[in-house]
Amino acid sequence: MKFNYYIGTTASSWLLLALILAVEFSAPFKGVLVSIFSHHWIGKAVLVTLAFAAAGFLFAGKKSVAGIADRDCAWYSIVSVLALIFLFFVLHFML
Amino acid sequence: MRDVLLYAHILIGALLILLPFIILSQLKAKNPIAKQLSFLTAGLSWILLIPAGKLYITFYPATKTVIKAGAWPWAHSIIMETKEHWGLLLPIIATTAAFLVYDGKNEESRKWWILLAIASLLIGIMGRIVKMGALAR
Repeated sequence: MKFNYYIGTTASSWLLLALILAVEFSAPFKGVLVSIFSHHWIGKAVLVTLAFAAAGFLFAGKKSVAGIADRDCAWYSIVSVLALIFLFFVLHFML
Repeated sequence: MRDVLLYAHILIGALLILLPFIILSQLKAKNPIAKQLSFLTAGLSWILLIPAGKLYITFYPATKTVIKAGAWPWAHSIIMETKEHWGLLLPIIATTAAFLVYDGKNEESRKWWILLAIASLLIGIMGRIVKMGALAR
């Protein structure tokens, strides 16, 4: 069985950023995560892990995302999301 | 219980800074042990979520209250928030790096190992800042 870890990394990193934004701006969404997983952090951890595995298997044959080679997409995604997470919390604190 | 979790958290975190450099040196030396070390590192990055999560969910809320009432509220709002979420990406980075080694893409794995070491180091520094934030008055 093939697994595309580049696609898995791309999907999981952007999903994490989306989950962070959703939890910060939507109390009902945070409540849903808490009700299912007991804590929003556990919910994020489970969903990000599932996204890594599911996207990696489902799109195993895919070699690019929106015209960008899968390996470049994974690298730019993970580095961008790490930076954006920090930037988001700086702005969220300051504004 | 708390101390055991804390030591496990710090020890495994330190290994995630150190092991990538050992792996890189072994890859350069074309030593096959690099493959085993890669999967050990990926495994440790997943295991780290257990003490990290337990500390964050069970023991951190009291510290958070102290930090937010103190002189460095940003130590929670910026540093801890970033740390807790960057930590979720460490296993993804380490697993991708390990798969690259498994696939023989050693040269390409380099930047992923370096990213793992840097992110782990920064997370460790953030942990220290959070602790200082709890004492800041």
